[in-house]
Amino acid sequence: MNFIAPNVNIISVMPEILLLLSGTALLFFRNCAGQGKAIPGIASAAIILQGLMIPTLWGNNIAGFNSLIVRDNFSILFQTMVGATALLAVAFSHYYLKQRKVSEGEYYALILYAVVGMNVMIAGRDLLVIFLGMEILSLSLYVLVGFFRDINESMEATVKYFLLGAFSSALFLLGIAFFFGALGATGIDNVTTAIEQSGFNIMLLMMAAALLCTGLGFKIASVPFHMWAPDTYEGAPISVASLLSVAPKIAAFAVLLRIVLAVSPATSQVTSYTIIAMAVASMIIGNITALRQTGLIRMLAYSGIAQVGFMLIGLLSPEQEGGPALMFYLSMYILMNMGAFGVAIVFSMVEGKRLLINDLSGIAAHRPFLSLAMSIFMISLAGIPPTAGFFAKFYIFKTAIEAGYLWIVVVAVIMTVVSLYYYFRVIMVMYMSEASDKLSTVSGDVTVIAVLLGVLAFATILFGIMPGSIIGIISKALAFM
Amino acid sequence: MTMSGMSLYFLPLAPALGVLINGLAGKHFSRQMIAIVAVTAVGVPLLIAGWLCYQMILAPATTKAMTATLYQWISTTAVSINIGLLLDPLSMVMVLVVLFIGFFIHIYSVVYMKEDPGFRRFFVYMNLFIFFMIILVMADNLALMFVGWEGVGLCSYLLIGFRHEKKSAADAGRKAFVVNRIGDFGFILGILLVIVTFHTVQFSELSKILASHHGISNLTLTIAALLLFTGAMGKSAQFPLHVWLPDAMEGPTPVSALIHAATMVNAGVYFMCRMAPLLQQAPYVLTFIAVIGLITAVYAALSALGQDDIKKVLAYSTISQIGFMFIAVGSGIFTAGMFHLVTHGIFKGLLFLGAGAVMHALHGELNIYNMGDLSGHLKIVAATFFIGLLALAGIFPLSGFFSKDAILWGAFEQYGSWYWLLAVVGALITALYCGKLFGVAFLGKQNFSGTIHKPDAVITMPLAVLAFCAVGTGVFGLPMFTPNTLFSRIMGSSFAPTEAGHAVAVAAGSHTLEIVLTVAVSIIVITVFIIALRIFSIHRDKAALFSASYRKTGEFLHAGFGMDGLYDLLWVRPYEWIAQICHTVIDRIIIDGTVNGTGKMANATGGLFSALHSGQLRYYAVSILAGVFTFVSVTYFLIP
Amino acid sequence: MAPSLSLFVYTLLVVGTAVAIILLSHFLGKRPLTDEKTIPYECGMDPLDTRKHRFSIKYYIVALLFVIFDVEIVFIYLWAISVRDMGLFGLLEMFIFVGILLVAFVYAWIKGGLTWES
Repeated sequence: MNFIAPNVNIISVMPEILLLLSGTALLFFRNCAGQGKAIPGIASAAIILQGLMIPTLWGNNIAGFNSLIVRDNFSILFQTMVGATALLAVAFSHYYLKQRKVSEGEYYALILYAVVGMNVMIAGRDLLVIFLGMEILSLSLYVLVGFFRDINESMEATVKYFLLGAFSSALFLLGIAFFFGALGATGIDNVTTAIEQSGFNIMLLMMAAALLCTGLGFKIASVPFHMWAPDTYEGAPISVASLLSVAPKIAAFAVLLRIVLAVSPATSQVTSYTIIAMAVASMIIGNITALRQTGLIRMLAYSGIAQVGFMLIGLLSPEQEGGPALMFYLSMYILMNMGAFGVAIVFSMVEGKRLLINDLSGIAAHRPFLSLAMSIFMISLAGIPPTAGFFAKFYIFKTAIEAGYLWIVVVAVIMTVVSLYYYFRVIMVMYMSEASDKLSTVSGDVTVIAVLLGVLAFATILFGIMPGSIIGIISKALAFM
Repeated sequence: MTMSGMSLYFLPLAPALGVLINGLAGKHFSRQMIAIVAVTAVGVPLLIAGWLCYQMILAPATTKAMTATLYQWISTTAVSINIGLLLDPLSMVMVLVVLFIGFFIHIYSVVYMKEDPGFRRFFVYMNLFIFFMIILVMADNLALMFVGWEGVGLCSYLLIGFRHEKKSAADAGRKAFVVNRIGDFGFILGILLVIVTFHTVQFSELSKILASHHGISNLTLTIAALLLFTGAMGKSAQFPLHVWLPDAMEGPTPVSALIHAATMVNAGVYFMCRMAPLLQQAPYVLTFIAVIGLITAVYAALSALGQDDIKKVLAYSTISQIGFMFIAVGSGIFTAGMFHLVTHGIFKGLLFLGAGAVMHALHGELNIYNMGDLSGHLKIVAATFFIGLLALAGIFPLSGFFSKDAILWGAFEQYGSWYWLLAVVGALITALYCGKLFGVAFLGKQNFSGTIHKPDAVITMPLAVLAFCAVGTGVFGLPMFTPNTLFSRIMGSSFAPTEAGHAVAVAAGSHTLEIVLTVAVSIIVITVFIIALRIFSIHRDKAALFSASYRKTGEFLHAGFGMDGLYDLLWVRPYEWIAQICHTVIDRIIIDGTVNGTGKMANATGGLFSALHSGQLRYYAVSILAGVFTFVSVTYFLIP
Repeated sequence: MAPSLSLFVYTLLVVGTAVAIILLSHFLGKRPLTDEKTIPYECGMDPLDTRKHRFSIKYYIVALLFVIFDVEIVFIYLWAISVRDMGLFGLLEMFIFVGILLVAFVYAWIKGGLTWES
């Protein structure tokens, strides 16, 4: 029996090891007094440190574990986005947990594990590795959503999320099985070689693509796999909801982009029908359902579903400009969605219960800066210049038109107009309604979160004025693909 | 980047900071603090501008222009536009005018607006205006200039309607906005045409292209120049787009002084000077500008004669003087136009501030016939006002004399004696209403009762400084009768390529005719001024009798030739009629019906979708399953 | 010995052991049989019950802890077969694997997973 030692190349997973070690260390920090800032501090330090390590790998295409994991520039960019999101979520969590007067190391450990899972998903070149990452992510999130066992809604949310998540994971696994059936291997790159040798079963491959899209469609909460999102976001702690609404989408889109890029030459147009259906349905159902929502978080959840619909359009022409446009949209989505959730956290700090849009009435008089920031995020989500959201939509629409999908853009523009209603309702309520005094007693030390929100709002405007720099980085990242 | 390159950014940055500080945190400041911030935000860049000017004068002719590019704003295949600043002698002069007059008006306003509840708002707008004005004059391309152009328009609108609770003020603001839109429409079309034709909006590149054998048809050039001039007409209140300026006097007096006399309304002249290379190659346009300028100059001077509101007199006089500047532009003597812009900015700013001081003293009285004999009560105000009026009338040796003389002579050379004669008539009427204004308001019998607010030092100090400058800036017009004046030496490189031919032609001619004409005009102007002064102060009853017998003419002049009525008939009423139809038929029935219907439908659909979202887990799972089933089966059937 | 024959012997051994245990308990057990003695698990749980019956969450924790070691055994068994071929690399890998399990175990211990009474 000959044993060939695998080429592990431990450097390729150094950031993940760091996260795992610090996360595990955090597990043993218990609810002690006087550690209020230490725990989130350690968590942030770990994320920042891995965030610093990742760019040093830029341009080197470091491979590990027999090339099951490859850190190309594409994954580095996505991982940086995930890291930034997680960092914001940690900061938000600090305030949320402080409000509930708990300081749990486990909570932050789970966030770090989730980041590990997403990093593995993004860097994985083999569907089984990707699945492994997805499960690490999912298990962490299931626990995070139900972290506060004394809140019934939270328990309901986590059970729903867990059961449906398990279901969709099973479908994803089925997709992997079909993939294996088609190619006899589970590596994404195997598709390319198989196409060259034309040695694969096209039908099984297409089935696999459809099923994989299903599993990932659940993670990005696109219609018709979106049903969990509003219930889960609303039941989960808002800080977790903020993470949940952005980070898994980034990772899942990275995987989707990789799969679609690999598969589309083989399956011609067929895969894009699935994506078109998901995109159009998400835009229509997300936007129109959001119109009627009274809860702020629930509205943001539907808005997230709608935004995913816009992003999916970028997958229709991944080889051309669609990929960069999608990445730009995602990075801008971090700014505006995390910002909106951050504002919601500050507002909910006194309220504790379900936050209604009408609770914000007249808040602008008491909290002018927060209201201004919220308005900027809302305007950006609605896609109005000069904010980042405008350019995000603009690039996506441009690529779709160039790829010949004019009718989708028409639908998207109509839905953008629809979305104005519910985004602007928030602004209108904040500025033009009588003060309801419900939230006027917002108190507590919110300096750091306020500074963060200020930076996010500033960046939202800044990238709306000069989007060029981000676009430049993204094109550089994709040039290697 | 050099030290001076960095300092270019500081010129617009300082007022912007003033806006931010006062706008965001000013609520917690005392009035004193707000005033200090606002005045510093203009004072500091003034010092820097002075230093830069010194540097520029010392610099050799080839390196007089400083540029600084912040970043690329728009980049497309058709055109790429930078956010870039340009400081050459031309914009230097404008920057100095804006900051110098702006600085003293800020100081003046601190006292003038002392009691106003909108103190902070006022200074935020004023700083914002300075910021946009600096952007306008320092922009190195048309697009950025347009940003500043719209910005000052916005500030003008906000400041005219500053007392927005007063209906007339709000209406005046709106009128200014609407009329300016007409001009801006032309401006935008012009910019687009320039982009299409030249593929750049950068001034330096434009003049480079125009200096080469570009092969662009004369027609295109003419249309572009005309469109851009339309923009200038709107902003600089040229006939027939001048109607907003007299109404703009609803704004606080310092605003009238700064925006509607000294700086913003002159932006059109500056803009035309900036576009000189283009105008030079579109010959008919220059003539057109000269004609518009002449009509405006004479028309507005006549209208000024019929006014009895002190600020309206000055407003029409401003229109008229800008008309003179456009005569200069139309005659191809851009340097003279800019020189008149500078002197006019100073003395008109002075006159408005003086008018403000008078209003302040008389508790808001505006009608000059309710004043009289103010010189006895307000000595410094009267003295400085008199200096301002002398300069406005163009009487030797005040600054206005030098600049106006240069314009008249240039017009004579370019368009001959008839054109010159009409311009001189404009100048004479100017002297006439100057004399009338001073005679009625400051001399003769006292026509008011009650106490007088004595102005304090903060009010009189800017008056004194500006009066000194109104006298002193004439120095830059020396030596006379040559194109090579001090001012044109400072301007130097700005128009060197475009005016060279003209300068040679002038140098070759003899000065005899010019001297004779100047002296003759001066004598007549002085005579008219003195006669007007006497009639309206000592023989006021005769004047009243005279105007009673020509009451209709008086009313006609008072209404500015009835331009507002004409506009009402030609535009406003038909427009209202169309609007009414649009409102009742198109908007209410067709659009509202569709929009509301769509909205209702979307809302109802939203309700339907929400109902689908029952909260029951099994339905969620069914949704996933249905999706998978659909996708997989569709994929299966679509497989080739 | 052919592989099929060894498999056959192996099957016989398994079945034989099972039958032997049942027979032994039949002959060695004391009579008469009480109700408690007839149920499959004499340790306390009744496998046949209505679904409304609730039982302590602690069983799950024990079960989870069991899975940790169960999985460990599965891996270690496979590893043991090929440990010689893998050499130092294999040894290190197993140490890392056991180390990770240990951390999890310690964590469960600290959290009180091993104490039945709280």
